[in-house]
Amino acid sequence: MIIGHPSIQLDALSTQQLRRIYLARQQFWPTGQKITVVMHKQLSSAHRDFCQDYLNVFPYQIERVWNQLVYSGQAEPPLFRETDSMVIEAVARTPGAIGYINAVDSLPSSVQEIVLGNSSAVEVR
Amino acid sequence: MKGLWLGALLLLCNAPSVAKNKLTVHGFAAQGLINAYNSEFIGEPGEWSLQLSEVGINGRYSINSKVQVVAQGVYLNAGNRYPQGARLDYAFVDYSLATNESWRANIHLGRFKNQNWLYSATQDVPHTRPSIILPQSIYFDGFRDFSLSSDGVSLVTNKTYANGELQFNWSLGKNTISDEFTVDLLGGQPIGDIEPRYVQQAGLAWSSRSSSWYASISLLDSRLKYDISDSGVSLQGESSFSRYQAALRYSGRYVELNGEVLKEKIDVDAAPLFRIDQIGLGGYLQSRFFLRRNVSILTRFDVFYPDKDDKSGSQLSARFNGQVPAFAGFMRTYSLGLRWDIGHRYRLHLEHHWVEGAGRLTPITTPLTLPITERRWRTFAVQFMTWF
Repeated sequence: MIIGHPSIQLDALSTQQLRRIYLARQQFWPTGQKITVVMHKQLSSAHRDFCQDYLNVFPYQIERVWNQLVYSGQAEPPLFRETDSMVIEAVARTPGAIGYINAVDSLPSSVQEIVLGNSSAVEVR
Repeated sequence: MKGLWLGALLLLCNAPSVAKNKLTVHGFAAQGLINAYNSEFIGEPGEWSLQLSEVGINGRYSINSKVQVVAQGVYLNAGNRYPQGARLDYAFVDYSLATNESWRANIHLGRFKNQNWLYSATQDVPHTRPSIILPQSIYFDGFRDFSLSSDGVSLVTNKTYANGELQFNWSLGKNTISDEFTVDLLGGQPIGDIEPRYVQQAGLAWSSRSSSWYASISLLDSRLKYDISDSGVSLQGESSFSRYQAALRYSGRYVELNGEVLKEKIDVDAAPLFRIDQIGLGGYLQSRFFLRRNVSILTRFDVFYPDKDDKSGSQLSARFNGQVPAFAGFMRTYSLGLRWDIGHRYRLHLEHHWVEGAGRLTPITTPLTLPITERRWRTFAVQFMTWF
């Protein structure tokens, strides 16, 4: 599931928008608030599954996209965390942050669930 | 350049300051061991060398959602491949012209990086490269500073469609001309000097919806002023250097295939001293096989001909009465590499290159100053890299 900092004012997110955010194409929310992207560590299964199921890319592709932007001055690197609870903690502490975790029944009030719309669903490879 | 920085200052002054200011700093470091057999590509032929050091630091200061100030400095020590020392790879004001759910347009003012080739934006960052040594046909070490960044203005755009993404970049500026570039263009003797007039670049790229396919075309057109004196003859004039390139990449689960092709035109009219009007051709084909999540193997064939009408180099050799070997007229490289992600921010590259020819070791106008190289030579390198 996708989670965000409570300060994000958003009813739902399209999968196309999620993709643009995680590929650093969109770096600010419509309100002007900076987006901080939180990911699981690049070699983890959680990161691999998220890349393929939600973004339809392989982890090495997403790494390359971020490298190209970060090392040419066009983006700030994402935050990498080891576990779901660390992702929740990082998102809760960072206004404008977005992250992903395994589905849970109840979330702490320090983060909000971001519901994905179906407007631009991507086919899973 | 003064006008450029004034423009950057104006952008900063007109920026609405509504967001929280924030500075972020990141960096990287890499150290390797390298040996070039039968060639002065690095240093003394056949001697192991630690001249494979790269350190960089970059910063990004967000003024608000529209304006950021960014810079990156690096220190390089790579033997004969580059001049040793520190450089400012980029330093610019990034102004967001427009952004929404499907497209984004930014303007960069200052020293910005070339965005148009597969590895041009990150060729200075060790852990982002596919190999320690990039294919020399496209990423000629001698042209590193010239092709990496320019001082001027750059427009960067991308738009997402239902079936993929389109990117368009355009820039106008002046290149950095290093002493090494001067030597590579004019020869090893201090016979002249070259100064940049302008460089214009444009690139169009498309990637499929699933990002499996990526294709791009790009153009680089530059004008250089030169001032040459030799044997009592003094000449000033203009020369041109242009590149036309295309790239294609397929990214799969177990393998990634990519290649780039190049047409390079150099025109220097310095008669009666010399006249160069030649078209070079080159390109590479590369594959990466993902053996495990953290281990991949790279294979590559890279070829370059400085003069498309003299692929054997025989005319070149004849022009210099045999003092220049014919193998200076071409360069073919077969590469095999291994990449091992040791941990989250630690990576090791290990590779071997088998080379025939010296087409990318030779100064263009004065091949007499070719470094000591045999027709067949090879390079082994291993490099450890980390970043934060």
